[in-house]
Amino acid sequence: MAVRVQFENNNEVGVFAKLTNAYCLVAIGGSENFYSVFESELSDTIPVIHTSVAGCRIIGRLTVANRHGLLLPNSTTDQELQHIRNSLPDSVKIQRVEERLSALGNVIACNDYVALVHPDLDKETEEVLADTLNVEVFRHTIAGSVLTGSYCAFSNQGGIVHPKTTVADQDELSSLLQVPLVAGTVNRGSDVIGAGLVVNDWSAFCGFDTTATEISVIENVFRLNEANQPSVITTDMRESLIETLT
Amino acid sequence: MATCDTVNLGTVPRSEKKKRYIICNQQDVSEIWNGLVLCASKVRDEVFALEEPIKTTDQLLGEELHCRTCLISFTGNDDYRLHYRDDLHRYNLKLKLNGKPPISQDEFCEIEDGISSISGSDSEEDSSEGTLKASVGSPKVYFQNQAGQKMAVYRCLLHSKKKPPSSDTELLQLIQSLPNQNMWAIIMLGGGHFAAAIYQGADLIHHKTFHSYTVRAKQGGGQSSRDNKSGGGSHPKSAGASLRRYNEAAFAEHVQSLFISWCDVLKKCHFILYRAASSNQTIMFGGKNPFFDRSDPRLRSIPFPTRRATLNEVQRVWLHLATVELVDEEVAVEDDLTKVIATTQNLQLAEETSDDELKVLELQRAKRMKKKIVAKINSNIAVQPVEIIIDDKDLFPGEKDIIENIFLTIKRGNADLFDKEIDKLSEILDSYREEYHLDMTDVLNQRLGDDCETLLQRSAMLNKRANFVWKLMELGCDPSLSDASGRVPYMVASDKETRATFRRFMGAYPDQFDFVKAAIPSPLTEEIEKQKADKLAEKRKLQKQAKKEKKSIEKAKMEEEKQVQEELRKVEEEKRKIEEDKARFVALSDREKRALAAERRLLANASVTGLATPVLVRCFLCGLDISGKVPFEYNNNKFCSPSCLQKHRKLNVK
Repeated sequence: MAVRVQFENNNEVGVFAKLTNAYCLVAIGGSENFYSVFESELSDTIPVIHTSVAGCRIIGRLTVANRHGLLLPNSTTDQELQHIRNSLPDSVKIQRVEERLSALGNVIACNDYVALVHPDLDKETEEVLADTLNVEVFRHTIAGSVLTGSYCAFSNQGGIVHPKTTVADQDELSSLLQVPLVAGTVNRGSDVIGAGLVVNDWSAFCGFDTTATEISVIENVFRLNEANQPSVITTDMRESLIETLT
Repeated sequence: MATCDTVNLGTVPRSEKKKRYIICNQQDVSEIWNGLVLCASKVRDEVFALEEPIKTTDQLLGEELHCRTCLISFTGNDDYRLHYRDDLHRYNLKLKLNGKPPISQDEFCEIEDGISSISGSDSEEDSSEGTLKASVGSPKVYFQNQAGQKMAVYRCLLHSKKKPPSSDTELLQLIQSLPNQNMWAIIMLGGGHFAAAIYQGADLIHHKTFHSYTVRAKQGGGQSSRDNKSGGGSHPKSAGASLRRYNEAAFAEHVQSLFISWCDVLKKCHFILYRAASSNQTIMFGGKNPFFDRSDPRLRSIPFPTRRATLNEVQRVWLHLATVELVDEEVAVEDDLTKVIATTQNLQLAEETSDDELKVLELQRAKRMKKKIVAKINSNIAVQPVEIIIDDKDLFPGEKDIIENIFLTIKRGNADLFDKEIDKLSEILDSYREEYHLDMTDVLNQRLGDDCETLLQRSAMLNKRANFVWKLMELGCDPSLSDASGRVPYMVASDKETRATFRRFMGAYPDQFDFVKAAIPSPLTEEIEKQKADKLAEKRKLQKQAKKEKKSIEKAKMEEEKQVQEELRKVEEEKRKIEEDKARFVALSDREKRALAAERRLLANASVTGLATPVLVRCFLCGLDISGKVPFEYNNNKFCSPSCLQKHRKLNVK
């Protein structure tokens, strides 16, 4: 199910939150509304953590994360790093990187297996990225723009890319990422997908302005309606699973 | 968190790969390694035709795995995915963002040295190509098994360059024994990167990579090679340079200590395949007691270009070397080989790992074409060179010396000496008149040096020697004589004054020389010059006037502004006074206000009745009449002004 949410009257939820399959980071806001939406949706499966990065609330644009790890820009303070380390599960690797392009969330898009990165990203960062997040790294552009993290959002199930991506480019990207892709928008026609949407394998959060049509595209391509929520494993899928195991 | 792990589903499907035969794999080898016979060299040509699938852009786009940025298509998923981490891809991405067409792998190899931001390592590719071209024969050996399958392995696995096998049977024996020699070491060095690995069969048993900062940023090239270039004189003394120098030394030490720690394993290796650019070879073979002996037959250099030394690259090199290439026979090979090569040149090369020889061939061809074009352009641009027949002999004994002397005086700018030299020359000429029938002009127009320039041209090239140019022309030096590259003195004149001199001479003696040939555009007479000077003076005058006017206008403006401000200040002052008065009045007690009103009334009455106005109130200090005015007061004492009040107060305090 895709949920509409707003951060202090702002629809760009991807700017203020980072969602992965293993944890969720939420910016510290004036009120707890934003946080409680995430909390109510996710808290029974993954931890939802309040944090700032380098004293900023735009944590979604500054960080890059998947279930294996979390990369932070080098402007992150030691205190923040300590707080995040304490709050996240031990299996998650946390790394601060020295990178010229410090808004990592804008220049890197990733799921648990692959990452699309800005062509100018440092080689060292690329290596850190591959090691920390356990991903294959591809340098690429989306619809002629180098900001891969801003203009697309993808999970292990599927992805949405900038509306002006050509079909041939979509095919190429989808053969690279090994997930189905669709060109689309969020927040009533906004093309900055990465800023308007956060998604993991079983849930998605988008801005308040997102139309019903956009929601339906999101739910279809990320397969949010199908029986792949974590709770399904212990309920609906239980029998078939045990059958195949024995 | 456990739930998350179970949820994950992104299995990555890989496409079916072609069957690969690895030399070290006993099973693979037993399938094909029987009844081996060497192939005739003709097969090699066929191989060329087969290995390069020719693709047009349309075909490329129609296929399943292709990079649309680089316009390259791939057969294997692995190669495809690897490509996206390639420097070539990165470079092409940048080109695409700038709206330029992509380049092929070959073109990239050529320019790679120039792009330090991408490769980050020094000029390795060049040297590797050098060794490639120098290698004897082809890098691969082709042979056939019982079943008629044609195969190829790299020659470097069979024998070292220094010890080529004497006969085909010996070569065959080497091929047959190859599968047993399965312990390989691969060492790669370059640009501060080091990667080494030891393979036993297909297993990687040891490996090590490291990197240190030795390559100069932006300029490229190692620090030591830069230091060598400066010839021991002025090494750069910057912090970066000394850092790199230190790093280079540390790097060499590091590598050597690693070799020593691997000593036992390295001794067991059947081959040591290495790749080290010239400066890096000293790390392996240089020094007082080098770890490797150059004459060691196990040492082989890697026979194809490699990328930066990383573990991935080492693994790629191993796989590439260990793969037995099967040459598919079923495909007909009727195409004309030359045609194939010619057409492939215009197309993108399909795969990185394609045959290296073809690449070299193409590279050479491209270079040749480039040269031709350059030559053509050059011939078009240059002024038509003139055929000049020079007689190197002196017209008379010591003629060259005299001309050189004259030139020297011009160079020094010494007019007296110049005149003396000219006199000397004319004297000499007089004395030789009978013998040679020479004129002064003949001598002065002699060609000098390799470029066949005249004395006049040389003088024109000098700075601020216009007076000598004039003198020379008066003596008969011809400005229309051009040098070997077709330039006349006017063209090479170094300053404006010299050019003006040429034009003045043309104005003074319009018929003396062929001024069209001398490329002098127009004559310059005193009249024209005067006109020009007048014009300039006029212009200057106008400019001055305009400046003056501008200044005066500005001044007037300033004054006006000042006045306005003054007025404003006055108005403000008055306003302030009234305000103060008002405030003082308001501050008075009601009784006093009434008293004041009464005073005013009395005064008004007095003025109406025409009587002398009575003095009702006087200033306590100076006694000025202040009846009818709002007084300044303290302790019920009234004053005409604050200053009177202040004085009174001070007096009382005492």
